[in-house]
Amino acid sequence: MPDQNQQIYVAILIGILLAILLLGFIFVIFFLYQRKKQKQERELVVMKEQYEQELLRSQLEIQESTLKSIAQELHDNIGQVLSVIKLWMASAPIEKDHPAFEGVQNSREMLNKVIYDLSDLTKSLHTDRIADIGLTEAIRFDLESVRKTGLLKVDFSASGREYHFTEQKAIFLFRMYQEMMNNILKHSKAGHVNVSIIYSSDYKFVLKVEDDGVGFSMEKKQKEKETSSSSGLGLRNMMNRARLIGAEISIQSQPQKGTKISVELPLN
Amino acid sequence: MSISFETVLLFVCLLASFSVYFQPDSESYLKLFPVYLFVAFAVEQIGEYLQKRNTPNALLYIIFVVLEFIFYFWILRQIIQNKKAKRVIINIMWIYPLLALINIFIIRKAQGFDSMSYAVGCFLVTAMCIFYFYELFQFPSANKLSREPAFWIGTAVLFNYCCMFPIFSFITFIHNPPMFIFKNLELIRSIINIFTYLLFIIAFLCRIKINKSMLQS
Repeated sequence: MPDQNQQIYVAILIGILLAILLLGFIFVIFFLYQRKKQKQERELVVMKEQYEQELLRSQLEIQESTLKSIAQELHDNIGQVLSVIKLWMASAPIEKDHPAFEGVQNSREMLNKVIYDLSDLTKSLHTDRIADIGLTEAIRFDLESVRKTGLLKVDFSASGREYHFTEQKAIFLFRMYQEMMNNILKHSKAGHVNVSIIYSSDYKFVLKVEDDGVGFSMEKKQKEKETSSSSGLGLRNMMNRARLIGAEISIQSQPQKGTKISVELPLN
Repeated sequence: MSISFETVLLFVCLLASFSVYFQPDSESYLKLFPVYLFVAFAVEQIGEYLQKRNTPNALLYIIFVVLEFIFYFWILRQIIQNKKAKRVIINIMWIYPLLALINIFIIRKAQGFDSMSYAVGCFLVTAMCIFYFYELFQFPSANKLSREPAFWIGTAVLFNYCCMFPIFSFITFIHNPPMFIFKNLELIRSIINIFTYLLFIIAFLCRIKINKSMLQS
């Protein structure tokens, strides 16, 4: 009987030891596996993000290159043709008392305006200029064109020591500004726009665009964005550009109370 | 007639293994498990029957052990993804039984348990299991590990042969072990088998989902 008891004790002891060994093994495997899986998932997320950013960058680069080509074409081809037409019209021997004089004069004025607008358009499309004159000057120049149209009252201020961004960052920031202005001109029905650029001492670039237009409901806009893929395309482009250069966009708007958009970018 | 707990568990394991036929997307290696477990159960019964009649049963176990190793080689070949490793295992699957049978029947003339072949088999199966775990960590699957039959089978096989290997190595060095050592080793073997069968049962049932509504009814 004591022998049998001893055998039972031995069986229990060995059983417990083996169970601990087995459970320990399973636990360790589970733990290590989970850790490895989480690490892999994290790597996958980073890779996906990098891929998306690369894709986005390529898309925007293609878009930029297309705009550049269009600007080149406008300048070299259509611009030249219009200049030749202007020359021809200027040299046309039409006296003041000629019945066609007034029509020709109007045409000359319109042609001048077309050449002027085309030149502005070419400049706004061409990105080499932004690199040449700097972001602040490019925005100032663009606002000047807007002011000249008489559609809006424009205020512009720039403070701080200008920082020279890389070409891509400057282009992206300029395109974001253009998108904001485009939205104001198209949808806001604003009478006054205030644009300010701040290069703050704590190494931050801030671009603020405020208007006194009709504004919009942020919630409504969000719903529209969720239901329609085409809705808010410009805004999405702006967000994408901001994400690519590491900028933050904040939008504040309420119906009938105007819109404030601010872009913040840390300066390296 | 007394039936050991190990035999009962083997039978339960055999019953549980039939569930793989009713589970969708069961792998082919899982579908062959009931056949293997049935053969293992039959061998156990025949072995006990022969023992009771004082008829030598060693040859039955010797041959079954070789078949068992071939089966586990095949299972691990199915589980492992690496093509090179698969090719190596398929070669082992015919080289090992050939050498083992030569050793058993020609060199040892079918006298007693062939611990050399067993040790080699243990070593090969353990190496394959370790490779499986290595591969598992290299390419974690999207599924939960606890719902992977391959993991439970791999754990069962690795545990079984890692623990059995020293026992049988020990027996090899002691030609005629005293009764108490033999009894204790037999006990350890039984406990190891019980854990192995439990892990197999988990492997067969781990994919079955239990809904709350099923529990309530």
